[in-house]
Amino acid sequence: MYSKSPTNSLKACDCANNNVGSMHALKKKIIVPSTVEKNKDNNCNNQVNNKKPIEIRKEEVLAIRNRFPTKIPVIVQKFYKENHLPNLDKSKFLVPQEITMSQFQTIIRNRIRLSKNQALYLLVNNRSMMSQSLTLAEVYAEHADSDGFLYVTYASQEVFGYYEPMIFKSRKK
Amino acid sequence: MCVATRDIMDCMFEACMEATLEPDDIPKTTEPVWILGKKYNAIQDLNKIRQDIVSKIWLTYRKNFVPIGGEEGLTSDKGWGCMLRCGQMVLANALVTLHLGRDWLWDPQTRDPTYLKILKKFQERRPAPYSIHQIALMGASLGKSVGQWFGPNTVAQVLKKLVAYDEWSRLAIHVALDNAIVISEIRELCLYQTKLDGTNLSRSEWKPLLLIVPLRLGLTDINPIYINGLQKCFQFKQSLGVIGGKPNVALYFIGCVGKEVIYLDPHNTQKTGFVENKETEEQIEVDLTYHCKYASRINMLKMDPSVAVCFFCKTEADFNDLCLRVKLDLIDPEKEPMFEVTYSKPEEWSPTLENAVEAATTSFADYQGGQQYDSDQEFEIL
Repeated sequence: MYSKSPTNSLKACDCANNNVGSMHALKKKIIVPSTVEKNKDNNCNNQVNNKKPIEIRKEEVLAIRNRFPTKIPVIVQKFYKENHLPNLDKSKFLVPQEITMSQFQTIIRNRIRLSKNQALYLLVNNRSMMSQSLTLAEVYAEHADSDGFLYVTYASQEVFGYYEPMIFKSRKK
Repeated sequence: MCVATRDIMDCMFEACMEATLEPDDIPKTTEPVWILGKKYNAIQDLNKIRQDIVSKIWLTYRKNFVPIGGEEGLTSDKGWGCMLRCGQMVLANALVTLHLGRDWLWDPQTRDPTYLKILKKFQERRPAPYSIHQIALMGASLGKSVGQWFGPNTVAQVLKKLVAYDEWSRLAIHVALDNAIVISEIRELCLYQTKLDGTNLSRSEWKPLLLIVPLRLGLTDINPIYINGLQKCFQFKQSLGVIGGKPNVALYFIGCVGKEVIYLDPHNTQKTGFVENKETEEQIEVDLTYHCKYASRINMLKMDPSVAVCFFCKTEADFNDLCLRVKLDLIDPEKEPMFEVTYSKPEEWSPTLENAVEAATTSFADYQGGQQYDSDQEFEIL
């Protein structure tokens, strides 16, 4: 179930294609902030392309791939729960296919001006970290979305802390 | 109710619980139990497993300590210190392995001066080099104000700074970011030259290494493709466990059995006390608060995906062996390994002249603008 079939991802993306879906998600988030919204292995939460129907996205990719056959169309987005990392000024990139994930990560690091001691993770399709030695072409061949884009989410690490529930506090009194 | 009475009642409650319930710390299974690189049989070795676990230094929330950073400062780390405590536990157990050996066992009577020396470094007082005070204040110098929650990488970065002041241990901490252990960086950090007595010759020596690899094994949930790798991390003899947690709750994972991880939990607010030379009844009692009788377990898939995998390499040979085992057991069998080992840092990419010219001269309108659909954002060509 973890290798994403094209049909699945197509459905998954289309479900987020209308604004009603995202409004719903937004409401849910406000009402029950403690409930973690599950962000399953699809690109549902992409904010850049979700306004456009898949046909248009496909056309867009085709046009670019024709014009730049050696470049990979990549969409890079910040994880929606990420509070520590800055935003990227752009999220659509045409990336030379021969660069490695490691080099790509350094590019993103430099773009958001992250110090070398801060953690940055790039997750492809919201699920896994890619081997740093893979080229973008290799990653693209394996993980491109059915619309032709490669979706990359960036995040740092979660922080940990705990507010004791009120019950325990009153019991101690 | 006065404090003393409440504590007595707590003790009675605990004693009562112990008498009636057999603790469910280790499952009765034929699967091997791994504790920091040691393999046990869950049934035959139950006592040995518990002895090993209770020997680990356990650091928890404390209350009523000297305020952190001045009179108005916090006097307890309850609610915010759990990741800091997990970091302390990794370091404390690294120091035990370094100075006493992996096979060293604690017992309630022990007055081993080396052990007491290690423990004192973590107690709640300012001069202790790894006290909650030092960690929180060093965190503040790195941009996390006192009382803010930490992630695994943050506490690793803080510890890296603090070990520099510990002349006794001469420990080196390397935090491997970007999912890669870069061998040349570690050799540069750990190898140093010493002069041989009475000659001009020098010999290279190795600083004991605590290697911390912060990872993100998924966005909201742990990706199951990493479970095998995680299990392997507890099996290497260099294993020093994993700092991580359940969502919001930091835990120190010290081993695994099947698909479950075994952990020490810092979420137990104990009162502040000092072991000193462990001479009085009270000091013996305080020592007991640094050891946890029974560990707990959760399924690996319930872990928060933000973790840091920790290894201890006392010698250069330990480090070489670790690199080899990581390659053989963690990288080669996996399609998407948790992290990698490379000899040198990969070169940064810079655009070739051809690329740069292409990027500079391309008009987006040629292929994108002015078409039938509304492009909300243009591509950036790298």
